[in-house]
Amino acid sequence: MKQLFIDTAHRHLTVACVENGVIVSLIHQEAFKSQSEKVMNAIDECFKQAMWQPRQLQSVVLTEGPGSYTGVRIAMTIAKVLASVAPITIYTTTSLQLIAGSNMNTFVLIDARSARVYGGLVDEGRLVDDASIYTIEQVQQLKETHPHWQFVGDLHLIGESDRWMDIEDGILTCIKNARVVDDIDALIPLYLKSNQEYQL
Amino acid sequence: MSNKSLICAIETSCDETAIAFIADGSKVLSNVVSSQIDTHRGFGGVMPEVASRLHIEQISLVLKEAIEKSGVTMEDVDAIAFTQGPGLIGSLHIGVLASKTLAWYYQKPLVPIHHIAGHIYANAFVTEIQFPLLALVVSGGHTELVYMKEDYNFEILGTTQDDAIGEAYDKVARVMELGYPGGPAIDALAKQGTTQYVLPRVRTEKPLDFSFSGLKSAVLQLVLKEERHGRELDKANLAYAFQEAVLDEVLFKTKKALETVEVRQVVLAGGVSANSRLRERLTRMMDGYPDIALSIPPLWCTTDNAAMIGAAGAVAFKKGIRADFSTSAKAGYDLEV
Ligand SMILES: [Zn+2]
Repeated sequence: MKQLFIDTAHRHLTVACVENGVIVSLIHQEAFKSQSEKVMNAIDECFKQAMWQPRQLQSVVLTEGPGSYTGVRIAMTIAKVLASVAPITIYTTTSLQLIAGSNMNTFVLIDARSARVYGGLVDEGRLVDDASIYTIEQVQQLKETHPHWQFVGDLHLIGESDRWMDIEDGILTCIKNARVVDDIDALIPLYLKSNQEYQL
Repeated sequence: MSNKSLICAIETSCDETAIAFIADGSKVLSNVVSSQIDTHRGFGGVMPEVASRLHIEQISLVLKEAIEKSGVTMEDVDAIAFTQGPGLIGSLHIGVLASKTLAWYYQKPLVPIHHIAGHIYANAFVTEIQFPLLALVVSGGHTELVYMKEDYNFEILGTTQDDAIGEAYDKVARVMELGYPGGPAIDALAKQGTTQYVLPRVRTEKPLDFSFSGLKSAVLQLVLKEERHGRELDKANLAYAFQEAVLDEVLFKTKKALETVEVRQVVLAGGVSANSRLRERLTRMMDGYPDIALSIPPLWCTTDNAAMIGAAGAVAFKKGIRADFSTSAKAGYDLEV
């Protein structure tokens, strides 16, 4: 099965062509606030490297969030459009699972701005807790109370160096655990903040 | 130049998710618009993040419906035209990405369109557009006098120095507690009004520019003054006074523009072109210019939609205007390039 993996939720842009559990081509680059400009060329380039035609695509696996709102909508727009016009099956996973990969007891944190993070515990590719919003203090408390967890992601927010795990492991683990989307029209990003919070 | 083309057009610049299929620049094969107005009414105006969220909820439904109703397939399409800007950046992104995805999957050219060009070319659905022309563009985001000496050539003669005309209507409607959007409410109420209140004349430095913020403050002051004097406000008469003052300004500047450029046609464009009093007064004013044709877009094509982007797209496509995969949404986007 010819699968396209896309993640635009965070400051990296990740695009990969994957066939039967093997990464055929991969673009993983820093793309802070420029995913929208870079994503289509990255997809095109990945397909060329894999020597695939767009029409051969059978499924798309994307991260539904959490992350930048503009970012998560990028991959989702592409997936929704493709599934609307062609028999392409869509699967979703989370950006936390992508970052954690197959590692055990890994708490992933992603900058959610305003001294908050999107976070969640991932164990061997599965989300233990639902992704949620934490304050920096809460993350620091979790770190103290759970010495056997490893913390990865935007660690600069808790005064450490950012830490990223192996992206290929992340992609393959995500594909293994991704959930199929039955109703493409009902698919929405994992925002973790409701519309009502925008009421003036 | 042959006008044969089939354009798939996508518009998401504000609060409508819209996709259309347009043949030969003026035949509407399908024109699907999903409006968010009911949601934004609850907020009293368009909330940008909420608008982006609704676009992504609607995009697949609108796309499927537009294709199905068109009776054509994506393979038949010559190009994908999309609104590049101006507009809400998060909203624009959805349409731009949807367009790029289709262009990539079907290997079709991408044609970037300025939203205002779309409003102007909406007139192609009712008339043959003649050049040179003067377009009066009036909407929630724009108030512009645009001179076009030929097809797809735009020169802005005048623009607003503060609020757009539709924005002024919304703000005044809020002061008068008429709800959102303000344009239709004021237009309807003004019909029952008469000349009781007098609002000051607008002054702008550049002769063809518009200004509405002074008028908006004058309305607020008048409301407060009536309150102070314990007099009941006649809302219909205030709606009448405000609407007449706004239209005086708009028509006066249009007249001034006609003194500076020689044109064969005047076209009205934009959401506020649905205003019944504007249509009436502009028509009457243009009776004084028997050599200049007047085009007023059909009501269905005054508010934002993708058919108009397809009409402009057909022209831009023939002109060879193209975007590549790295193209992006432009919240602020110059028409004159
Ligand atoms: Zn508009």
